[in-house]
Amino acid sequence: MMEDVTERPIALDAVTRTDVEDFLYEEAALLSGWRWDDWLALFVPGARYEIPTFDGEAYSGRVAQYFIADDWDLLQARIIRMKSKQAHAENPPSHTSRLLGNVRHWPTDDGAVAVRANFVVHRMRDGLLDPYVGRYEHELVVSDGGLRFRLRRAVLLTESVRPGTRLSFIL
Amino acid sequence: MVSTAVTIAKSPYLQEDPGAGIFRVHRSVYRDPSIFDAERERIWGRAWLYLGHASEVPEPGDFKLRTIGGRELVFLRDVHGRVRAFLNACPHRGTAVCREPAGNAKRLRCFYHAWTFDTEGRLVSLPSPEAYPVGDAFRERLGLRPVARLEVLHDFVFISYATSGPDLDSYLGEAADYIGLVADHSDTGMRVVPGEQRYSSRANWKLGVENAMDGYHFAPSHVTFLEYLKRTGFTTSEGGRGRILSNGHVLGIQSGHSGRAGFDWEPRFGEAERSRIEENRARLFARMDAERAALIADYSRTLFMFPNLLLFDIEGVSIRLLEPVEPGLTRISAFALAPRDEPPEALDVRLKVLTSFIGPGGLATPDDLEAQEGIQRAIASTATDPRPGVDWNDVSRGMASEAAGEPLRSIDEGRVRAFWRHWATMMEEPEE
Repeated sequence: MMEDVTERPIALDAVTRTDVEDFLYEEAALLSGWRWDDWLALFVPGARYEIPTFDGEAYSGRVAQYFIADDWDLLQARIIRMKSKQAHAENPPSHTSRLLGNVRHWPTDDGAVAVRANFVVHRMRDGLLDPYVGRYEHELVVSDGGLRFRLRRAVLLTESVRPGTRLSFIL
Repeated sequence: MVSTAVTIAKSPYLQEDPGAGIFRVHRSVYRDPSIFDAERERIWGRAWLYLGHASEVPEPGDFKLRTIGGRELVFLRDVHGRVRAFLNACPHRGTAVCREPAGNAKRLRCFYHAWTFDTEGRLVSLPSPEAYPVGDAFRERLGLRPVARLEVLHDFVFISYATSGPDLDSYLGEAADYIGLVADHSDTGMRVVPGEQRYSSRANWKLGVENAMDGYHFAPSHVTFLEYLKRTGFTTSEGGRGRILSNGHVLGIQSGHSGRAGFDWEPRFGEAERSRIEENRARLFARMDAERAALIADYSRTLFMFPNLLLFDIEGVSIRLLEPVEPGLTRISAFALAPRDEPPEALDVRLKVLTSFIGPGGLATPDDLEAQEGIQRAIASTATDPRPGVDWNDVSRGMASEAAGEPLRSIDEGRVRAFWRHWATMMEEPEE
């Protein structure tokens, strides 16, 4: 499972689309399984998690208000919260089904791997089903353990966060 | 005790009996479509409503589409620099004139028949005009329809769909002073930062008001947020006051609730911000008297302007706009307001701390939405219960101290009661 993918050392220029897809699929499985420590281990220290606003997408996180602009501290705080029974918005937890596709990747100038992928995430809760449609814009780095997030960014393409579809889980 | 509940404001939806400590709200106010329709007319059709901040349309020709009180508006700055708002329905046959959510234009053209309007709303061209009456009267009659009234206070733009009624100053009363305190954060002015958090809740808009004006929920609802602050080295204080202003506007005041971007350092702002905050405070205290400067720098405030504006002057400044869509559906927009001259590093800290709490991805707002949506869903179960008192919400906390004239505590429900009393007054007033 996870170990098979992440323990295999890869050279940056040898990263294949299959490597990237395997990483994303395993990540999706961890998220749907609420395995927060394993999920956080997919990040290098100092990494960020971002969800831009619809009109903030054109700006960087520095000059625009985002839905989520977690630095490393805040990301860890978010995961501590996810594990808490007092995170009322996710207690009971929502269930997600995550479909990924159109995966592309290329090396960046500073030694990372830029990833683009489309997602359709369905969130089930309160007897309702809410779709989230968007695009991942990640930056991965190759570490001893395999691919790791330096930046994990989910860009929503819907024009509004629909009724009830808050971002209290990890998109 | 035998209840001697009295109906106040002639409302069948509120029961208030200070002697018995009873204040309750009938749950139909959150559910009933006919009440929702009546609100559209009596509240949203008559009150002053917050539209937006002038900095959102900074240049001549800048426009944004925004739905306020159920009516889609083009919020724009005309070529002369004046802020205006027009109903976004072509005066000809009613099509949406503007279909981009935002942009810049010197002319607004309805694509259907190519009628074209200038930024002051005048009909300036239309194809084959010879088939219409000669003279100016025809064109003058068919310009874009402006909102009935529009006034600007410290760059906060307000509209009213009513042609008569109190002007903005008398409507706002003291609430204007608290908007002024926010405007005074910087001598260079304040601006809305790009990035509107646009989201919705499956809950009635009044539940969103109640939630923001109720400090009682804070500790139990937001325990994970409080724990997060504590881990960063900051301990929040319990205290907080409420103030009831005129016309249904209410205020919460806190100190020590959190740090304040630019003014009050807390550990998660980082060391670099510490010295900048000291300089920024010195600048503030140098340009006004110490009492006002301390009010601005040291106290967090949440202002509710009846019926659609929540102005959070807390970790950062957040403008929250409530827009009812259906009895059980509310659209919400949150904007970050920041000093125009704030350096990028400080703005970064501001947006981080604000977003850590506020919005659908924050560590706190989702729990508020959970509560509100839970209410909307659950109160269906009491709608037809025959027993008295079952289909009512209790809003009585702190009634005795309120009756004794003591200062309102933010953890009591006095501000929520004030909201409801004014709501009832608006709903019951005879039509003008």
